[in-house]
Amino acid sequence: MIDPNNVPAVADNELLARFILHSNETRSDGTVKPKLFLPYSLVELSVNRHREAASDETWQVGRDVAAARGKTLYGISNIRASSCRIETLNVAAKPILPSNPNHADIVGYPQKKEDQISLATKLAAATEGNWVKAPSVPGDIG
Amino acid sequence: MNHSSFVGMSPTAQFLERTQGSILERYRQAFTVSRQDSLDSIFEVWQAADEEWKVVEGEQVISENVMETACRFVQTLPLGFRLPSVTGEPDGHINLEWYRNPRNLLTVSIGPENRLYWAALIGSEDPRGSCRFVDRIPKTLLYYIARVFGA
Repeated sequence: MIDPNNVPAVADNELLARFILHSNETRSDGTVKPKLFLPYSLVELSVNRHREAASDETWQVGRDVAAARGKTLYGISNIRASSCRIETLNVAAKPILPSNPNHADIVGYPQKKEDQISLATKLAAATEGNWVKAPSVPGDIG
Repeated sequence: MNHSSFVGMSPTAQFLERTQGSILERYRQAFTVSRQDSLDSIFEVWQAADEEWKVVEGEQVISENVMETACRFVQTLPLGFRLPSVTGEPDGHINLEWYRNPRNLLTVSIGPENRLYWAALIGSEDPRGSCRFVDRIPKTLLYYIARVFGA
């Protein structure tokens, strides 16, 4: 994981993971639905930086997030930071110390739902590869 | 003798008329069955949200009003239009999605008080908007549903 005492800004080429906590956020063709990137009543959205994190560590963060929210971790979808920096959006390092220095937020969502949906469709279209199913035991992200 | 009754007298014309009627009826039945599938999905999503989400902080149940609006929306789709996939949303809305690929889709979020929030991505075009749904699906949405599938 990133050194909690020296958390760098999120670089454009960094790969970010968005945890999938609802089965209806994915499609059978391996893509994800825009709703995976909707913040709803909020104006920021949590992601986790792969930078300096072993895959087991990323999956463990996902499991912790799911457990805290009473959900199941279905998998992750990966997106490049540069793909999140569109229109009003940006990506900011938001470490949750001490447990998760790799936490970041996609910030700058507008309040109107139709504008949020529009941005979410673009983010979903920009994800890299198919979504990755969570391993039943810690394993590779692939 | 008018033209239509003259045509109807011909055995060939009568055969064609019967065949056309039969095809149209089968098409209507198939559409009705698949529309019922969508209505069932809306009902299931409404029930699932009620069971799963009411105990989770920050998530809202889907109201009966939203469920009914979603059903009316699907029932109002003109014959021949593709039916959407249906999912619930944590803010208590029902989402309808017409999807061809990640860059050709329309998503409509149905909220309380007959409110529709929608956005499409069609290549580089990104139209969006919100409106109220009363009796008819806005022509703009029908236009973009057709565009998603290349019409």
